[in-house]
Amino acid sequence: MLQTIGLTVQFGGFKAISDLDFSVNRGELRVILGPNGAGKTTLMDLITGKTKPTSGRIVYNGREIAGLEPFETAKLGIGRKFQNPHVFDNMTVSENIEVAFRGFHRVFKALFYKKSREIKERINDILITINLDHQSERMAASLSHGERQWLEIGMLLAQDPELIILDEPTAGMTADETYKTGELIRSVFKDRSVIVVEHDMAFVRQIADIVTVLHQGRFLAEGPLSEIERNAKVQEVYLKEDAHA
Amino acid sequence: MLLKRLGINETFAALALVFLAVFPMFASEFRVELMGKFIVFILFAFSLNLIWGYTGLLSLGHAVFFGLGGYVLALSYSLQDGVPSFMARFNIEEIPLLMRPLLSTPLALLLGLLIPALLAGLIGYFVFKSRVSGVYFSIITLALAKLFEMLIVNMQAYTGGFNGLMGLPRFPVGGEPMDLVPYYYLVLAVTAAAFLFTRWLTHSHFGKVIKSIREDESRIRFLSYNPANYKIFVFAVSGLLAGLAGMLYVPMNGFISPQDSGIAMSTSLVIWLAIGGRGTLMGPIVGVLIVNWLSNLLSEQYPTLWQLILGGVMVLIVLYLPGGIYGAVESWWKDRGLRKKYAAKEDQEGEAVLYKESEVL
Ligand SMILES: Nc1ncnc2c1ncn2[C@@H]1O[C@H](COP(=O)(O)OP(=O)(O)O)[C@@H](O)[C@H]1O
Ligand SMILES: [Mg+2]
Repeated sequence: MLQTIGLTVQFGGFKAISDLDFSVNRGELRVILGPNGAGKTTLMDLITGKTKPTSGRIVYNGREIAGLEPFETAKLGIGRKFQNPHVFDNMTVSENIEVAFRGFHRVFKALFYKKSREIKERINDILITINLDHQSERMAASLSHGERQWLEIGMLLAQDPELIILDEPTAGMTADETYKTGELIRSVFKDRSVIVVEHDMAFVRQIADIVTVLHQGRFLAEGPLSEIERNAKVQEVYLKEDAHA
Repeated sequence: MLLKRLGINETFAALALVFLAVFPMFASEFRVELMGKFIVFILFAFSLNLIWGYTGLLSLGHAVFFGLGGYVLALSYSLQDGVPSFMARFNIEEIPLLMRPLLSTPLALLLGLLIPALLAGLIGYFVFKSRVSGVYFSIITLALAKLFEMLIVNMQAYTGGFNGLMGLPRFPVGGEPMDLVPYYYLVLAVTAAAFLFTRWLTHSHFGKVIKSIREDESRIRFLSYNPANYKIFVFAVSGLLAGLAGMLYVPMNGFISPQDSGIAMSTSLVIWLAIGGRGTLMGPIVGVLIVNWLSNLLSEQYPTLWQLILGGVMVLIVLYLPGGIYGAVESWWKDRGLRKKYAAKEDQEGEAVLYKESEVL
């Protein structure tokens, strides 16, 4: 479903991603691991069109998408949750969900769109799923950090993408919230392709099938989590990290 | 209670409408004319509110669109009896070809809307498609205001120059100019319609999208929206409303000058909206009425001191009430409503909520 071939991006003289071949299949949940600065977020920026690659290709559903704008990759069905929750602060929870719906992005469609019963029900379902149904009229700014993360997941549900990118979805959550988030991701996105960037090993164990490890913008290892944990190269990288820290 | 049944915006809007509608029955002609001008300013402030209040893009040259509308109508009036004296003075013997369409009043009215809308759309197209930041938009519109003001002053033969165009009649209907009070009601009706239009627009899905552009433009791009198209459209609509306000202003005021179309007017507008509350439905009304009424009251007694007071109030509001006067009132009201609602809900279904929290996620 998604494949990168020889993907490279340079910032000044620095290669944040170099010569990366990476692919994700339909219906798969892939976890991306890697120490800080490994280029995980940059890879997500490349896939969603926020950053343009210096060279290499990104193929999505048989289509070259390198160089498209974010609103174009979104139209093609790629949805993203940011590392720090990006919600619309001075709008209510339900307004946040509502703008995320797909299919009303043209100016004139947006002007003459009528909120149908069906959409109202879907908004309500989403609010129940993310456990914010009692906060629907509150401003997003007044939510807790964890609630904001969930709200952004709710926006993804409304957007209904085929490929979902979650950049550290549990950052700043308590262990309990993290666990709930893992269950949420497993249940609501189970038929989609999902790429999750994550640090929290307990969380990774909870959700992961196949794990890809990046290091300094390069591919390091890939496989089931148990194998990765035993991988000598991976251990070395993480040990070095620990030594630095 | 009225407030609860109708909602806060609707209640205040209804009160304002009633107040403005009965005003001519009690006030002197002088006051009615003054209030009529304020109503025009309210309409003008609605226009800035769309682009600044709701979309988050501060136009510092909005009076250009106001002036364009105003000058189109004023020129149309001036040309009705042949070559006007300000042109004759420069030995112009025929009405210039470009101004001929203005001889027809309906056409002039249409152009007074379309020219500002098109200019705004065009500026929007170049500024927003190239994705420069909001600050540059403000600077570009500011430069535009300066440019337009200078252009009018310098093209004296065609615009009347620094002194502006004077002695303009109130809306002639069937050859006879309208009386003040009927014209006042016409302006009030148009402004009320513009209020309803703003309300519809901002409550629509479109309204949610422009608000999200204001909140976080880069985020909305990841949800399939192309913000540039939205911004161009809002700016064009805003330009159209400003042009409409300019056209209504001319007959009420009796003259139009470069000062009405440049930086001074643009800045006043920004101040009214900031004090009233940008991004709220009633903010423009509250801001225009309070600032202008106080200004009239105090400027007679303390002409210089008043400017200082206004500046001081402006700074205080920006610092302590970033949502403006009405913004503060509205958010207080909403918070109160929410607190009550949650308190009631918790009483009712406190146990159910607890159960849900452990079950759903
Ligand atoms: N826009 C940018 N300009 C310059 N350097 C960048 C930019 N984006 C990321 N980087 C650099 O690329 C490297 C990878 O960053 P990032 O992808 O955020 O890592 P991760 O998400 O794996 O922690 C970092 O060294 C970061 O400083
Ligand atoms: Mg990162």
